[in-house]
Order: sequence, then structure tokens, then C-alpha cells
Amino acid sequence: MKHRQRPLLILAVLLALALIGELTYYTYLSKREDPIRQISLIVYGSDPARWENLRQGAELAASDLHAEVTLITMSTEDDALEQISLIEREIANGADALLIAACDSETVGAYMAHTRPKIPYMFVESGILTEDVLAASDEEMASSLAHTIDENEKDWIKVALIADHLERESVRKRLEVMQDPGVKYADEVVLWERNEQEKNKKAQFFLQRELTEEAVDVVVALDNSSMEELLDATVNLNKDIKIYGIANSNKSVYYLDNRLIKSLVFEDEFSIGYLGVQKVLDEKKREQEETIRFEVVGYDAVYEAAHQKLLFPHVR
Amino acid sequence: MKIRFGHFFDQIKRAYKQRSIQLIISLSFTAIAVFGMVFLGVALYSQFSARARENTIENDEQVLEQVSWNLNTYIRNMMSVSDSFYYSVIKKKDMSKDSFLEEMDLLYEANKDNLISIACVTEDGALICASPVANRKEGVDFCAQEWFRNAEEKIADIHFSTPHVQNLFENSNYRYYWVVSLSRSVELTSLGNIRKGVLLVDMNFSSIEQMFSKVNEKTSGYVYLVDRNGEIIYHPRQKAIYSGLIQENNLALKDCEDGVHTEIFNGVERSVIVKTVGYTGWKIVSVTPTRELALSLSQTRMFSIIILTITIFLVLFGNIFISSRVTDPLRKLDDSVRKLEEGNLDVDQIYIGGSHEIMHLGRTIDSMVKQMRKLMDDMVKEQRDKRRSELDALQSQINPHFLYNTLDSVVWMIESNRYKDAITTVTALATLFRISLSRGDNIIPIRDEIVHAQNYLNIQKVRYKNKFESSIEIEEGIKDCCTIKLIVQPLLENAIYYGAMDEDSRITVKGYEKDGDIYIEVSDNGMGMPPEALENLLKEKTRTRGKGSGIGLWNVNQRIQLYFKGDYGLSIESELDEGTTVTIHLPKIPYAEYKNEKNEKNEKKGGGA
Repeated sequence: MKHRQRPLLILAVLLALALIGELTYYTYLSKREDPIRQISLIVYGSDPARWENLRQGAELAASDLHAEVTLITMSTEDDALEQISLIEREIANGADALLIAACDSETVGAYMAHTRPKIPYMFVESGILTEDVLAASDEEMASSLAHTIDENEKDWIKVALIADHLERESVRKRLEVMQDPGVKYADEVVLWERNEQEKNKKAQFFLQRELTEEAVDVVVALDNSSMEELLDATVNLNKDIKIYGIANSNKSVYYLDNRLIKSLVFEDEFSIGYLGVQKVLDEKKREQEETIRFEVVGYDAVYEAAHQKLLFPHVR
Repeated sequence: MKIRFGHFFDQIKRAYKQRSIQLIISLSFTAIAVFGMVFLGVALYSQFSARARENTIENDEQVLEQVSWNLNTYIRNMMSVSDSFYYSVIKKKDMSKDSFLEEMDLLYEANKDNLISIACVTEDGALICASPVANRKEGVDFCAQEWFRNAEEKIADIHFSTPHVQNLFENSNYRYYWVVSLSRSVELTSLGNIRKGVLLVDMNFSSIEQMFSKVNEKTSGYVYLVDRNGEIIYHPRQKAIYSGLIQENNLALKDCEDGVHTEIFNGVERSVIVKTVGYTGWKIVSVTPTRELALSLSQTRMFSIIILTITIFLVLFGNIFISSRVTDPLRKLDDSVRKLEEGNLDVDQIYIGGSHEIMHLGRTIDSMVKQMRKLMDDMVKEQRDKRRSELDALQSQINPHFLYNTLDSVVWMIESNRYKDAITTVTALATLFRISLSRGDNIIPIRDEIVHAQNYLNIQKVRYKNKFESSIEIEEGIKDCCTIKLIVQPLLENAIYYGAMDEDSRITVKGYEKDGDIYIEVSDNGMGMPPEALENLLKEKTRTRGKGSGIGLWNVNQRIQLYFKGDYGLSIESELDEGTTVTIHLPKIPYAEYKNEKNEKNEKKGGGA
């Protein structure tokens, strides 16, 4: 081949490559839309309404990141095996990421450590021992709750702590703070904990019995499940009892509004959902430290502008 | 770095200058064309993108106009609910006697898609009636609520609140409603007396939300709604803003006028369109990041780039093709000239082709080459003739000298009455001239040359009264080989003049063959020559003008070299007080062979003639 023709050949090849590249991009790549990523939000409990704020936050972030969120609740309150089967099912069904509110930190934690799913996942609201969880600080929430009780109530009161759902790490941490002798908020603190036999029965009945049998001034529920069980036990009991707790379900807010609950520590689950989705879909965001805020809301402050925005989801 | 860059730039410039004319034409034309296309492309794209942006903004303005109209309609509907109830029911009825409930229910039923509730309360916060019928929530003070206070403060106006959770009635199923409250102060008639009260229409926030959600699907950015103080009523990311996850520049809109604005918020440049909704003072705000306006043009930009790239390549190829057509004849002509440059004048033909200018150039060069070739041929011929004539002149120089010398000797002998010697000398001279003539041949057999040399020696011996002895020893094998005539005689002449003037002088001539060549040595035992004299002996400038012929060795050497070239010629060895030997080196060419060749040539010439 003549040397003179080589540059022409190179140019011809370059032209062909450029045209192929550009036409491929123009006809295919530029019009191709990324597939919508599916995020499974696997939570404990069977009431989807309780997770409305979390879902709304997750959906807003997902809409920005070309993703969809599916909220998956359980048929029971905290059956670890059921939750594990849901996790397995969602992975098998092709979920691109998981947000999990662990119902049993130990069992679910052991499962996750053993299987190590290939897709990104993150624990929200309730996590496991070995991994970070996107939630407000349990210790600070419990501490704020103790401080609120201390401020609102007299020094000599007797407080009952509902020690249920301790399989969740979050509840355990909160209970530890509330039981800490250094945290002063009552003259006497008693623990209401179901034994193995009672665990097979509804917690509502156990709590009704405790409320009837043991005279306490304040009952403290440390999570949504306990709070709702306590509310169910209290509503028809006609007993003057002051309820405090850490919860954010619509039922809890309703009874806070109706003054059955005196004060609630309310976690910003909208932010948890929003940031959770960002973190599982964006590696850079995953590394960022986030602080989830919480508010202590008394029954007389439910309709304050700042609290309304936090407590009441926009329901269409 | 600057120096390095300058050096690099110089290298490019140098490389560019050294390129072929085709490359220069191709690259220059392509660069100009690309520059033009890019300039035109950028100008058109800028114009197009500006127009497209304007269209996008116009489209957003239209959407905004539409949503403004929808929102206005919605608000007017709500206001008409309030007006209807106030002017058709409250104004006409005495609440102590008549119930408002039926009319209120009717109004509610007619507008329940957009309403949460209608309620009428007295100035002290007592609920007169509400639709749908609901239990008033325990412990709620209507008078403390914003909608009530607003109505009380400006009784002539209809007031719109920001979105809030309704806090009036008992709810079932833990459900709460986000509402925008429309409240107005009303005059109630009770027992004929006028009392103040407040009429409240709680508009369903979801209606506003849905209205804007649909709009947000159509626009390139997003649309939100603020009240006259810039507080957010609706925003597609309202809850995220409430949670502090994202920020919005809503408060800056408090004093913002309607129209298109550009703002930079959180480092992002945004195009903001503001439209105020009548009566309420609410502002609909459309926000489009400028980057997204450009994104909508990405397809066009990509298409333009593709077209531009293809055009650039086509132009490049076109330029290469055209420049090739233009420069190929030049290149071929250049190749021809290069061959000439290399000294090859036998180029068959200078390239003549291409455009008429190049053809003319080719023809001119071709003509010049032909002329040059003719001139060179003439010059060579002239030179050859000149050499030959010079040779002939050199040869002819011998005869007068020799003749002069010999005749001088003969004169001397006659004067000395040595007639016999004179006769012998003249006879020898006659023989000498016979050989000299050789029918005009310069090449003779060595045999004849030796005879000639012998005769010459004889003549000189007579002249010098046998002062020297001589001997000639020639190998028989070389006697019939060629030599240039009269080359030994000048050497003998020198030997006699410079080497045989003393008693016992001896001159020896030896002829022999060595390594295929012929050597004829002429030796004397005279005084010899210093080495420095030897060095210049064969050079023209040292031609001696002393005794003897004065032609000297240079003459002989020139003749041999002119005929035989190469390494042939004379060499001299001399030692002071010992003598000198001059050796003639000749190629061995049999005389018969030479004669045959000469005859053949003559025959050819004769035939040709």
C-alpha cells in the first residue's frame, strides 16, 4: 500500500467509527431511558398507615432518582422469619435496593450477615447490632422523654416502663436509658414485661391487667407497637393514667390530639424515608453522616405550625 | 512551561511548512471551512437555543396562566359558596328561629369534592351549625384559631389561611384533613338583633395539591404556590421543605412582581415566573433551572454535532480529493525535476499534464531540459575536441623542438666537417620522421617507438661525441603492443641533458611486462634530483624552460593520460648523485587488435557516410 494512502484510510476509519458511534448514540442511547429502579421498603407490623410518613419521604426521593418504592408490611407485628422470607422474596423478585425496618435485630441481623445480599440495603427506624441504622438517636429520644416526664410530673410519681418488643435494638437502647439510675424522672420505675406464656396472648390484655393491678402514675411506651397496644388497653379502661412514649403512628398522634397521651417523642420518619432512598441509590450519599431530628410534642402543642408539618402526613 | 509550549508551537509550524502542498491545501481549506461551519453552527445554535428557551418560558407562562385560571375558578367557587351562604341564608334568616343546616348541607353536597366542611360560629366561638354534621372537638377554642382571628381583624374581607390541619371536629379512623380555611366575618340575626359571627369554608387542600400535581407533570421545572407573605401553600416537595431536607426561595417572593425573573439560589441559576392570583394575593411560581432549559435542547445539540461532524469529514475528504487533483500534476512535475536535480539528465520526458498553467510549466521545463542537454552535449563535444586539439598541439610541439635540436647537431657536425656523422644523423632523422608520421597515427607498436628511440640516441650520440653509453632492452613479448608515439624520445632527451653530460654516463631503456601492464624505464646515472623537485616535475607549472626541448615530462605524462586515462602515465624515481629512472606505464594492448578495431570503426564511418 502506498504511504500516501494511509492517512486517507485512517481518516476513513475514523469517519466510520465516529458515524457509527454518533448514530448509535443518537438512535439508541440518547433515547434509551434508564429502567425504573425498584426499592422495597420492608417494615414490621401489619398497618401500612403507621408508616405513611416514612413512605411519603421515600417516594419523594425515589421520584427524584427515577425509582419506585413498594411498602411491604407483615401479617404480624414482629415475626422475624416472616420478615426474612419477605426480604428473600423481594431480592428474588428483582428489587434493586432494600430499606428494612428490622422487627428482630438479632435474627434479621444474623440472616443479613449470613446471606450478604448483593443489592444495596439499609436499615431504617429499627436496625441490627452490626450495622448503622438511619434513625434518630434512641438514647437522645429516651433521654428527652425522661426529661419531659421529669418536667411535667411531680417528683414522687411511679412510672411503669413497658418492656416489650425488646428484640428490636432500638427499643432495647431506649429502655436502657430509661432504666439508667443516672436519669432521674420518677420516684419509682417499674418494668412491665410479659413472660413467655403471656407472650402468646395479646399484649393489650396483659397491659389492662397491669393497669388494673398496679397503681402507677405514668406509663411509658417506648415504641409504636407498645404505644398502640397500650392505647388499646387504656381507651376503654376508664382509668386516669398519664401516657408518655416514643411513637409516631397516626393512632398515637390521634390519641395525643385527644389528650390520652400526654407527650410524645416524635421521630421525623419522612426524613428517614427520604434519606434512606437517597443512600441506597447513591453511593456518595451513603457515606454522608445524617442526623435525624425528633420533637417532643405535648398534647397542647399538636397544632403548632411546626408540629403539624411533622405529625400529619398529607393524605390525598 | 511557556517556553516548552512555544517550542512545541514552533515545531508544529515547522512541520506544517515542510508538508506537501496537498496537505497544506487540505488542512488550510478544511480549517477555514470548519471554522466557518463552527461559527455558523454556534451562531445558529445560540439563536435556536435562545428561541427554544423563550418558547419553553412562554409555554411555562401559558401553563401558569392556565393554572392561575383554574385556581382562580376554584377560589371563586369557594368564595361563591361563602357568598351564597352568607347573602342567601345568613342575611335572610334569624338564627334564633331558623336553622341554616339544610342550606349548608345543600351547599356542601354541591361542592363536597373541593370542600372539607362549612361551619358558622358566633363571635364568642359557639358553633351554630356545620356541614357535614360533626361533633365539635372537645377543648378546642375556635376563637384562638387563625381563621377566626383573621376574620375578626378585617371584617370586610374574605381571608385565606395557609394550609393547616383542621382542628374543629371529632375525627374517626385517626384521619386528619389538611385544609385552607376561607373565613369571613358575618352578621348574624338573632331575635332581630345583629350579632357578629364567622363563616368558615374549609377548602380541601388535596384539591389544590391535585391541581398543581397535574401542572407539574407538564412543565419543564416545577410550580408551587405561596401566599402574599411568601409562605408555602403548595409545593411538590412541601414535606421535604418542612423537614429541612431541601430549601426553597419562597420568602424572597414576598415583594416579587409578576413576570419572568432570573435568580441564583443555592448556587443554581433558575428562571422564575411569578403570577399573582387575584383577590387572595397568592402567587403561583414556576421554577425552571436554567440547566434544564438547556437539557431540553440536548437532542438538537447532539443532532447538530453529528451533522457538523459528518460535514467536517465530508469537507476534509472533498478537500483532500480536490487538492489531490490540483497537486498531483505538480507532484509529478516535482518528481521529474527532482530526478533532474539528482543529475539524471536522461529523463525521458518531463511530466506535462494537469491544468494549463502546470502544463505550460512542464513544457517550459521540458524545453529547458532539452536545451540544457543539448548544451551539455555540445560542451562535452567541444571539450573533447579541445582536448584532442590540445593533444595534437602537444604532439606537434615535439617536432619543431626535436627538429631544431637535431638540425642544430647536424649543423654542428657539418661545421666540424663530420659529414659522415651528419649523413648518419640525417638518415636517422629521416627514419625518425618516418616513424613520427606513421600515417598520422598517434598509436604505434613499441617496436617502432624503440626504433625511433634508437635513432634518436644515435643522433644524440653523434652530437655529444659518444659521451654516454646507451642500451635498450625490450622484452620481445611487448614489442608488438601499442604505445603512444614519441614518448620515449623526450625521456631520453631529459636523460641526456640532465644525466649524461659526464664521462661514464649511461642511459638504459628497459621494456617489460608486469601484472598485465607494460612498463618502459628510461634510466640514467646522472646527478639525480632532490625529492622536492621530483614532486612538481609532472605538474604543468614546473615545466622547465632550461636546456632541452622544454616540454619535459609533463608533456609525455599528459599525452599518456589523455589517451589511456586511469593510472597510466609516468612515474619518476631519483636519487641525488645516483641517477634518475622515469617509468612509462602503459596498458598492454596488442597493436594488431588496435588496428582491427580502428579499421572496423573506419569502415563503419565509411559505411555511415
